[in-house]
Amino acid sequence: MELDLSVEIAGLKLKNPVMNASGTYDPLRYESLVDPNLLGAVVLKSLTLNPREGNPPPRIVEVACGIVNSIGIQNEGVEEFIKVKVPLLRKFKEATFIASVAGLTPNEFAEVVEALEGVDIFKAYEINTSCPNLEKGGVNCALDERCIQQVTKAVRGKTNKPVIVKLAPDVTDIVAIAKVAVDAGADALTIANTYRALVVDLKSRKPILHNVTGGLSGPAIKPITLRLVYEVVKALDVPVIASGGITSANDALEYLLVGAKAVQIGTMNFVRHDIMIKIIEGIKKFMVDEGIKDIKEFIGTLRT
Amino acid sequence: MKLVECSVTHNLRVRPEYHILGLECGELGSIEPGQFITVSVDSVEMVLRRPFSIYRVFENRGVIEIFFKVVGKGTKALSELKEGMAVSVLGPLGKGFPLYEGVTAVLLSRGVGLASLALLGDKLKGLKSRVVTIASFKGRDADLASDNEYVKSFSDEVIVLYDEDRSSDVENVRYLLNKVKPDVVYTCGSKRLVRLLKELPYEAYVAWEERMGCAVGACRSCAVRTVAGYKLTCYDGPVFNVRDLIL
Repeated sequence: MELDLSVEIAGLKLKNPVMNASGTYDPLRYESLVDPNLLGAVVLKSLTLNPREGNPPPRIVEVACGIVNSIGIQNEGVEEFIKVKVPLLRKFKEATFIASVAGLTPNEFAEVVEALEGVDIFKAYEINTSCPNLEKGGVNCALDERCIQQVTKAVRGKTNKPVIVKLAPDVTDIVAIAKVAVDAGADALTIANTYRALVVDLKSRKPILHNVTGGLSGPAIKPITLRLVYEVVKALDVPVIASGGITSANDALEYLLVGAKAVQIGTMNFVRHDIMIKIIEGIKKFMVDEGIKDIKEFIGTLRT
Repeated sequence: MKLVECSVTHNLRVRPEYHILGLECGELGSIEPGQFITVSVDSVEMVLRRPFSIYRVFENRGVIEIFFKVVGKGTKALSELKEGMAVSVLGPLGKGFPLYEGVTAVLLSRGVGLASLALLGDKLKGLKSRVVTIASFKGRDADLASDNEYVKSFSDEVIVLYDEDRSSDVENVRYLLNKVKPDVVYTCGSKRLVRLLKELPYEAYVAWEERMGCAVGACRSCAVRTVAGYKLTCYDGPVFNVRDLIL
């Protein structure tokens, strides 16, 4: 049976619905384990205008069924990235690259997009709003409707490529904040990022992460993020990329069933480095078993 | 670097909390002393793979050994693996120790940090270097060196130090190193010893340890501060020149 796994997100054609979550996979470092040409898309590590050295260690800690991390968007800055990394990525000729954009002010997001506009390998932008907003005393932009609106508008004004806004999960009303992003010009949404969390050590009576708090990811969060995706696809007519705790093809399929157009794999890339390829194979097997020729026929068919 | 399913060949309890786990991995490719592997425990409840130095290599049988202390849930689970069970191994990872021919080298370990230096000692011996192993332990019950035939096989001298008789004090280690006057020192297992080596005039390298995520240089979890900014323990290391580290 000829299977069609392709999906389309705001005009962006993907050969299948499986991509990585930003910061959890690097096509160059995983080269011997994963062929990026086979993925639906490759989302690069978030870029800021200037280099960022990130947080002091420890930056990661394991908890039951997950991890809590606080890397601090360590990156070389957009200019260095374009000069050094982009030429290396060009060898993956069949890969669909999505740039991840971060910033400490709404204007910085726009400047990063402006710098990336001339780079042909990027087919879309994912906007990582989980950054401290320095104009508002360092409040997490992703939790602030006004900031989401400003950032989305600022970015929208700089590009005609698809703009995917990545939202934080731990907000009072995910639909309300999703609507703000869509109304400000977002073409698609990634739902969601990690959940703010804390891990402490009883003996030293100190937090384990140097940054004190971090973001929880991994299988622990899957049912919670699944609910968020469900709420948003029910309420809004916007393509959703689901990201949260996927460990298997079945997890990915659950998100597609609920209505996500594509899925991102994050934490599991650290655990089974070839997991994304395994998930694509697992989705194909499910389609054969269930007699589904086109994955688009399956997406959003949850019976409630 | 390969991701392979290995089978457990042996799981030896060498001391109440210390295990040597043998893994038949077939062809992992060439392994440098100081490089490491990561091992998956169960992948859902305990998500992260555990990093371990490669303690010993039996090339002809395609078997490697890791040597670890049971400190948490992950190592507890690994200590309970039985012969024939399957384990997911990723490796070899990272950059190993620089090797020198015909020199006097000290392997300076603390606790099970000895596990990161043994393969190096073995290689150095093959390169006609003189190997002095200085192994420091909390107490005699945690001594992993005195009756260790592998360590003895490559060491020209084994000096064992303990906390209980205070022979492991930094000042005594300083005295011993100055007596040997090594061309190079390799260390693992103690930040205190790294600090000491930064004060001494000998060329010195450490196999650094930090909490890790992907272990292949993508997630940037295992940062260590160096004179050139943050470096990644898994990818730029785990071996660093002690003078490059900012502790």
